Amino acid sequence: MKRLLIVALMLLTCAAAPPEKAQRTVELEAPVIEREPDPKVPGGELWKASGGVTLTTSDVNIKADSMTVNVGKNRTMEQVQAVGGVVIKGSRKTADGIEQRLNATCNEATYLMSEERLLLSGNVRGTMVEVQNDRTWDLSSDKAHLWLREDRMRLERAKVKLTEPEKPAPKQE
Amino acid sequence: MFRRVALAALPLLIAGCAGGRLGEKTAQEKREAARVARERRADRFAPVRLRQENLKSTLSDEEGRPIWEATSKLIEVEEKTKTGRLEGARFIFYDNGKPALEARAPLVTANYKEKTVQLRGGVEGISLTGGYGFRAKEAEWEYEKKQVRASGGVTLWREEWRVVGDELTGDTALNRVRLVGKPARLMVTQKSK
Repeated sequence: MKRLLIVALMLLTCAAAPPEKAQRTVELEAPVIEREPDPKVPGGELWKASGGVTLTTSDVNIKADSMTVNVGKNRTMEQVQAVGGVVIKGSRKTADGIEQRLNATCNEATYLMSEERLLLSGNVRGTMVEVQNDRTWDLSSDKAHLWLREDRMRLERAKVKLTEPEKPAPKQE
Repeated sequence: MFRRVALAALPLLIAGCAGGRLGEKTAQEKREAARVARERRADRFAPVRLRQENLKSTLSDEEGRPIWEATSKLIEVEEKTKTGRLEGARFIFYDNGKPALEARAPLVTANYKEKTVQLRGGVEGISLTGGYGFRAKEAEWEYEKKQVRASGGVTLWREEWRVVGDELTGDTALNRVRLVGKPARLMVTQKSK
Protein backbone atom coordinates (compact mmCIF):
# COMPACT_ATOMS: atom_id res chain seq x y z
CA MET A 1 0.00 0.00 0.00
CA LYS A 2 2.81 2.35 0.98
CA ARG A 3 4.68 1.53 -2.23
CA LEU A 4 1.59 2.29 -4.26
CA LEU A 5 1.24 5.62 -2.53
CA ILE A 6 4.87 6.50 -3.21
CA VAL A 7 4.56 5.57 -6.90
CA ALA A 8 1.36 7.58 -7.19
CA LEU A 9 3.01 10.54 -5.50
CA MET A 10 5.97 10.34 -7.87
CA LEU A 11 3.68 10.23 -10.89
CA LEU A 12 1.73 13.20 -9.57
CA THR A 13 4.96 15.17 -9.04
CA CYS A 14 6.08 14.42 -12.60
CA ALA A 15 2.72 15.46 -14.00
CA ALA A 16 2.64 18.65 -11.94
CA ALA A 17 6.15 19.76 -12.98
CA PRO A 18 5.90 22.61 -15.48
CA PRO A 19 7.23 21.84 -18.95
CA GLU A 20 10.79 23.07 -19.41
CA LYS A 21 11.09 26.18 -21.50
CA ALA A 22 13.08 25.97 -24.70
CA GLN A 23 16.64 27.23 -24.49
CA ARG A 24 17.84 29.81 -26.96
CA THR A 25 21.45 30.61 -27.69
CA VAL A 26 22.33 34.10 -28.81
CA GLU A 27 25.75 34.86 -30.19
CA LEU A 28 27.15 38.31 -30.89
CA GLU A 29 30.43 38.85 -32.72
CA ALA A 30 32.23 42.18 -33.09
CA PRO A 31 35.75 43.63 -32.88
CA VAL A 32 34.70 45.68 -29.84
CA ILE A 33 32.07 44.76 -27.23
CA GLU A 34 31.38 47.07 -24.29
CA ARG A 35 29.19 46.68 -21.25
CA GLU A 36 27.79 49.45 -19.06
CA PRO A 37 24.92 49.83 -16.61
CA ASP A 38 21.65 50.91 -18.22
CA PRO A 39 20.95 54.40 -16.84
CA LYS A 40 17.22 53.98 -17.51
CA VAL A 41 16.73 50.54 -15.94
CA PRO A 42 18.01 49.90 -12.40
CA GLY A 43 19.94 46.65 -12.51
CA GLY A 44 19.80 46.60 -16.29
CA GLU A 45 22.76 46.54 -18.64
CA LEU A 46 23.65 47.82 -22.07
CA TRP A 47 25.99 45.85 -24.29
CA LYS A 48 27.34 47.89 -27.18
CA ALA A 49 29.09 46.24 -30.08
CA SER A 50 30.78 48.10 -32.90
CA GLY A 51 33.05 47.76 -35.90
CA GLY A 52 30.87 45.35 -37.92
CA VAL A 53 28.60 43.22 -35.79
CA THR A 54 26.87 39.87 -36.35
CA LEU A 55 24.07 38.58 -34.14
CA THR A 56 22.97 34.97 -34.55
CA THR A 57 20.05 33.14 -32.95
CA SER A 58 18.22 30.02 -34.04
CA ASP A 59 15.64 32.20 -35.83
CA VAL A 60 17.56 35.12 -37.24
CA ASN A 61 20.94 36.40 -38.34
CA ILE A 62 21.49 40.16 -38.27
CA LYS A 63 24.54 42.06 -39.53
CA ALA A 64 25.05 45.77 -38.94
CA ASP A 65 27.68 48.44 -38.35
CA SER A 66 26.82 48.62 -34.64
CA MET A 67 24.37 47.10 -32.19
CA THR A 68 23.11 47.80 -28.69
CA VAL A 69 21.65 44.98 -26.62
CA ASN A 70 19.35 45.83 -23.70
CA VAL A 71 19.48 43.38 -20.83
CA GLY A 72 16.82 43.49 -18.14
CA LYS A 73 17.45 43.16 -14.43
CA ASN A 74 16.43 39.48 -14.65
CA ARG A 75 19.44 39.07 -16.98
CA THR A 76 17.55 38.28 -20.15
CA MET A 77 18.15 40.02 -23.45
CA GLU A 78 15.13 42.18 -24.14
CA GLN A 79 15.94 43.90 -27.38
CA VAL A 80 18.69 44.43 -29.90
CA GLN A 81 19.00 47.64 -31.83
CA ALA A 82 21.02 47.40 -35.02
CA VAL A 83 22.15 50.55 -36.79
CA GLY A 84 23.79 51.12 -40.19
CA GLY A 85 23.84 48.81 -43.19
CA VAL A 86 21.53 46.25 -41.63
CA VAL A 87 21.25 42.87 -43.33
CA ILE A 88 18.75 40.35 -41.96
CA LYS A 89 18.31 36.69 -42.72
CA GLY A 90 15.55 34.88 -40.93
CA SER A 91 13.16 32.03 -41.19
CA ARG A 92 9.83 31.07 -39.66
CA LYS A 93 7.14 28.46 -40.06
CA THR A 94 3.53 29.29 -40.72
CA ALA A 95 0.68 27.57 -38.89
CA ASP A 96 0.23 25.16 -41.80
CA GLY A 97 3.91 24.21 -41.71
CA ILE A 98 5.19 26.26 -44.63
CA GLU A 99 8.73 27.51 -44.15
CA GLN A 100 9.29 31.15 -45.05
CA ARG A 101 12.77 32.57 -45.56
CA LEU A 102 13.38 36.27 -45.32
CA ASN A 103 16.27 38.33 -46.63
CA ALA A 104 16.08 42.05 -45.96
CA THR A 105 18.19 45.18 -45.82
CA CYS A 106 17.42 48.44 -44.05
CA ASN A 107 19.00 51.33 -42.18
CA GLU A 108 17.86 50.36 -38.68
CA ALA A 109 16.35 47.30 -37.10
CA THR A 110 15.07 46.46 -33.64
CA TYR A 111 14.75 42.86 -32.58
CA LEU A 112 12.24 42.66 -29.72
CA MET A 113 13.29 39.34 -28.29
CA SER A 114 10.53 38.92 -25.72
CA GLU A 115 7.94 39.30 -28.52
CA GLU A 116 10.00 37.53 -31.20
CA ARG A 117 9.34 40.49 -33.46
CA LEU A 118 11.54 42.45 -35.85
CA LEU A 119 10.95 46.10 -36.56
CA LEU A 120 12.76 47.30 -39.68
CA SER A 121 12.94 50.93 -40.70
CA GLY A 122 14.60 53.17 -43.24
CA ASN A 123 14.67 52.05 -46.85
CA VAL A 124 13.49 48.51 -46.19
CA ARG A 125 14.07 46.13 -49.09
CA GLY A 126 13.45 42.45 -48.83
CA THR A 127 12.45 39.11 -50.25
CA MET A 128 10.40 36.42 -48.61
CA VAL A 129 10.40 32.98 -50.14
CA GLU A 130 8.05 30.14 -49.24
CA VAL A 131 10.28 27.13 -49.55
CA GLN A 132 7.67 24.44 -50.21
CA ASN A 133 5.67 26.20 -52.93
CA ASP A 134 8.35 28.54 -54.30
CA ARG A 135 6.25 31.67 -53.84
CA THR A 136 8.28 34.86 -53.60
CA TRP A 137 7.32 38.23 -52.21
CA ASP A 138 9.52 41.17 -53.14
CA LEU A 139 8.82 44.02 -50.83
CA SER A 140 9.96 47.55 -50.18
CA SER A 141 8.64 49.85 -47.49
CA ASP A 142 9.45 52.60 -45.02
CA LYS A 143 8.75 50.42 -42.03
CA ALA A 144 8.16 46.69 -41.60
CA HIS A 145 7.07 44.59 -38.62
CA LEU A 146 7.84 40.90 -38.84
CA TRP A 147 6.68 38.38 -36.26
CA LEU A 148 9.05 35.42 -36.15
CA ARG A 149 6.75 32.98 -34.38
CA GLU A 150 3.50 34.03 -36.05
CA ASP A 151 2.29 34.11 -39.62
CA ARG A 152 2.06 37.87 -39.49
CA MET A 153 3.72 40.88 -41.10
CA ARG A 154 2.88 44.59 -41.24
CA LEU A 155 4.30 46.95 -43.80
CA GLU A 156 3.95 50.73 -43.89
CA ARG A 157 4.11 52.63 -47.17
CA ALA A 158 4.94 49.44 -48.90
CA LYS A 159 5.18 47.97 -52.34
CA VAL A 160 4.75 44.20 -52.57
CA LYS A 161 5.17 41.98 -55.60
CA LEU A 162 4.19 38.33 -55.47
CA THR A 163 5.71 35.88 -57.89
CA GLU A 164 4.23 32.41 -58.06
CA PRO A 165 5.53 29.53 -60.10
CA GLU A 166 3.39 28.83 -63.13
CA LYS A 167 1.09 25.90 -62.63
CA PRO A 168 1.50 23.20 -65.27
CA ALA A 169 -1.31 23.32 -67.76
CA PRO A 170 -3.82 20.44 -67.43
CA LYS A 171 -3.16 17.66 -69.86
CA GLN A 172 -5.52 17.65 -72.85
CA GLU A 173 -6.85 14.29 -73.88
CA MET B 1 120.84 65.51 41.24
CA PHE B 2 120.58 63.50 38.04
CA ARG B 3 118.32 61.03 39.83
CA ARG B 4 115.94 63.82 40.87
CA VAL B 5 115.81 65.22 37.35
CA ALA B 6 115.23 61.74 35.93
CA LEU B 7 112.45 61.05 38.43
CA ALA B 8 110.77 64.36 37.57
CA ALA B 9 111.11 63.79 33.84
CA LEU B 10 109.70 60.27 33.93
CA PRO B 11 106.07 61.22 34.64
CA LEU B 12 106.29 63.96 32.03
CA LEU B 13 107.61 61.49 29.51
CA ILE B 14 104.85 59.02 30.32
CA ALA B 15 102.26 61.77 30.10
CA GLY B 16 103.72 62.93 26.80
CA CYS B 17 103.66 59.43 25.34
CA ALA B 18 100.17 58.88 26.56
CA GLY B 19 99.11 62.21 25.16
CA GLY B 20 100.55 61.25 21.78
CA ARG B 21 98.70 57.94 21.75
CA LEU B 22 95.51 59.71 22.75
CA GLY B 23 95.82 62.11 19.81
CA GLU B 24 96.50 59.23 17.40
CA LYS B 25 93.40 57.31 18.67
CA THR B 26 91.12 60.30 18.01
CA ALA B 27 92.23 60.42 14.39
CA GLN B 28 91.57 56.72 14.04
CA GLU B 29 88.15 57.18 15.58
CA LYS B 30 87.42 59.98 13.16
CA ARG B 31 88.39 57.76 10.24
CA GLU B 32 86.26 54.95 11.67
CA ALA B 33 83.29 57.27 12.16
CA ALA B 34 83.63 58.50 8.57
CA ARG B 35 83.72 54.91 7.31
CA VAL B 36 80.61 54.01 9.31
CA ALA B 37 78.79 57.09 8.01
CA ARG B 38 79.79 56.19 4.45
CA GLU B 39 78.49 52.69 4.93
CA ARG B 40 75.27 53.97 6.47
CA ARG B 41 74.73 56.30 3.50
CA ALA B 42 75.39 53.45 1.12
CA ASP B 43 73.09 51.18 3.12
CA ARG B 44 70.23 53.59 2.72
CA PHE B 45 70.21 52.94 -1.02
CA ALA B 46 71.28 49.33 -0.96
CA PRO B 47 68.62 46.77 -1.89
CA VAL B 48 67.02 45.41 1.22
CA ARG B 49 65.15 42.19 0.72
CA LEU B 50 62.48 40.93 3.01
CA ARG B 51 61.17 37.46 2.55
CA GLN B 52 58.17 36.18 4.41
CA GLU B 53 55.83 33.27 4.03
CA ASN B 54 52.02 33.09 4.51
CA LEU B 55 51.77 36.81 4.76
CA LYS B 56 48.77 39.08 4.74
CA SER B 57 49.45 42.71 3.94
CA THR B 58 47.32 45.76 3.38
CA LEU B 59 48.23 48.95 1.57
CA SER B 60 46.26 52.03 2.59
CA ASP B 61 45.95 55.58 1.33
CA GLU B 62 46.71 58.75 3.32
CA GLU B 63 43.28 58.65 4.91
CA GLY B 64 43.79 55.07 6.06
CA ARG B 65 41.37 53.56 3.55
CA PRO B 66 42.57 50.27 2.14
CA ILE B 67 43.89 50.26 -1.44
CA TRP B 68 44.53 46.56 -1.57
CA GLU B 69 44.74 43.60 0.69
CA ALA B 70 47.01 40.75 -0.30
CA THR B 71 47.52 37.27 1.02
CA SER B 72 50.17 35.04 -0.43
CA LYS B 73 52.18 31.91 0.18
CA LEU B 74 55.40 33.81 -0.26
CA ILE B 75 56.37 37.46 -0.52
CA GLU B 76 59.71 39.08 -1.28
CA VAL B 77 59.90 42.82 -0.92
CA GLU B 78 62.70 44.86 -2.46
CA GLU B 79 62.95 48.16 -0.63
CA LYS B 80 64.96 49.93 -3.33
CA THR B 81 62.34 49.48 -6.04
CA LYS B 82 59.39 49.34 -3.62
CA THR B 83 58.18 46.17 -5.25
CA GLY B 84 56.90 42.96 -3.83
CA ARG B 85 57.02 39.65 -5.62
CA LEU B 86 54.25 37.37 -4.43
CA GLU B 87 53.57 33.74 -5.14
CA GLY B 88 50.17 32.10 -4.90
CA ALA B 89 48.57 35.44 -4.25
CA ARG B 90 45.02 36.57 -3.63
CA PHE B 91 44.33 40.27 -3.87
CA ILE B 92 41.30 42.30 -2.94
CA PHE B 93 41.31 45.66 -4.69
CA TYR B 94 39.34 48.47 -3.11
CA ASP B 95 37.46 51.30 -4.76
CA ASN B 96 36.87 54.29 -2.49
CA GLY B 97 37.52 52.12 0.52
CA LYS B 98 35.07 49.42 -0.53
CA PRO B 99 36.09 45.95 -1.75
CA ALA B 100 35.55 45.88 -5.52
CA LEU B 101 37.54 43.07 -7.11
CA GLU B 102 39.09 39.84 -5.93
CA ALA B 103 41.89 38.45 -8.08
CA ARG B 104 44.10 35.38 -7.79
CA ALA B 105 47.26 34.52 -9.67
CA PRO B 106 50.29 32.26 -9.21
CA LEU B 107 52.73 35.15 -9.71
CA VAL B 108 52.20 38.77 -8.79
CA THR B 109 54.42 41.83 -8.82
CA ALA B 110 53.11 44.71 -6.74
CA ASN B 111 54.66 48.17 -6.79
CA TYR B 112 53.89 49.87 -3.48
CA LYS B 113 55.05 53.29 -4.67
CA GLU B 114 53.24 53.37 -8.02
CA LYS B 115 50.36 51.36 -6.53
CA THR B 116 50.21 48.99 -9.49
CA VAL B 117 49.83 45.23 -9.48
CA GLN B 118 50.76 42.85 -12.26
CA LEU B 119 49.28 39.36 -12.12
CA ARG B 120 50.66 36.54 -14.25
CA GLY B 121 50.47 32.85 -14.88
CA GLY B 122 46.68 32.55 -15.29
CA VAL B 123 44.55 35.13 -13.55
CA GLU B 124 41.07 34.73 -12.14
CA GLY B 125 39.12 37.72 -10.96
CA ILE B 126 35.64 38.31 -9.67
CA SER B 127 33.80 41.56 -9.15
CA LEU B 128 32.65 41.93 -5.56
CA THR B 129 29.81 44.24 -6.52
CA GLY B 130 28.55 43.28 -9.97
CA GLY B 131 28.90 39.52 -10.05
CA TYR B 132 31.04 39.37 -13.21
CA GLY B 133 34.19 37.31 -13.23
CA PHE B 134 37.06 37.03 -15.66
CA ARG B 135 39.88 34.71 -16.60
CA ALA B 136 42.96 35.72 -18.55
CA LYS B 137 46.63 34.87 -18.98
CA GLU B 138 47.70 38.09 -17.29
CA ALA B 139 46.23 41.24 -15.83
CA GLU B 140 47.27 44.59 -14.44
CA TRP B 141 45.58 46.89 -11.94
CA GLU B 142 46.33 50.60 -11.51
CA TYR B 143 45.21 52.54 -8.48
CA GLU B 144 45.54 55.99 -10.10
CA LYS B 145 43.37 55.05 -13.07
CA LYS B 146 41.15 52.72 -11.00
CA GLN B 147 41.43 50.39 -13.94
CA VAL B 148 41.97 46.73 -14.59
CA ARG B 149 43.43 45.44 -17.84
CA ALA B 150 43.60 41.80 -18.80
CA SER B 151 45.03 40.13 -21.86
CA GLY B 152 45.51 36.73 -23.42
CA GLY B 153 42.46 34.56 -23.96
CA VAL B 154 40.14 36.70 -21.88
CA THR B 155 36.77 35.33 -20.76
CA LEU B 156 34.29 37.52 -18.95
CA TRP B 157 31.43 35.56 -17.44
CA ARG B 158 28.34 35.73 -15.32
CA GLU B 159 25.84 32.88 -15.01
CA GLU B 160 25.04 31.79 -18.60
CA TRP B 161 26.83 34.78 -20.09
CA ARG B 162 30.26 34.40 -21.67
CA VAL B 163 32.23 37.05 -23.51
CA VAL B 164 35.57 36.06 -24.98
CA GLY B 165 38.21 38.33 -26.46
CA ASP B 166 41.90 39.16 -26.59
CA GLU B 167 41.92 42.17 -24.24
CA LEU B 168 39.71 43.48 -21.49
CA THR B 169 39.72 46.96 -19.97
CA GLY B 170 37.41 47.93 -17.17
CA ASP B 171 36.91 49.72 -13.89
CA THR B 172 37.89 47.89 -10.72
CA ALA B 173 34.40 46.52 -10.04
CA LEU B 174 33.94 45.51 -13.72
CA ASN B 175 30.84 47.67 -13.98
CA ARG B 176 32.08 49.09 -17.26
CA VAL B 177 34.11 46.78 -19.43
CA ARG B 178 35.43 46.82 -22.95
CA LEU B 179 36.51 43.68 -24.75
CA VAL B 180 38.50 43.73 -27.94
CA GLY B 181 39.02 40.70 -30.13
CA LYS B 182 39.29 39.34 -33.63
CA PRO B 183 36.35 39.21 -33.11
CA ALA B 184 35.20 39.42 -29.51
CA ARG B 185 32.30 37.04 -28.99
CA LEU B 186 29.35 37.21 -26.61
CA MET B 187 27.37 34.03 -26.01
CA VAL B 188 24.22 33.70 -23.96
CA THR B 189 21.92 30.78 -23.42
CA GLN B 190 18.58 31.87 -22.13
CA LYS B 191 15.06 30.59 -21.96
CA SER B 192 12.92 31.57 -24.91
CA LYS B 193 9.16 32.02 -25.01
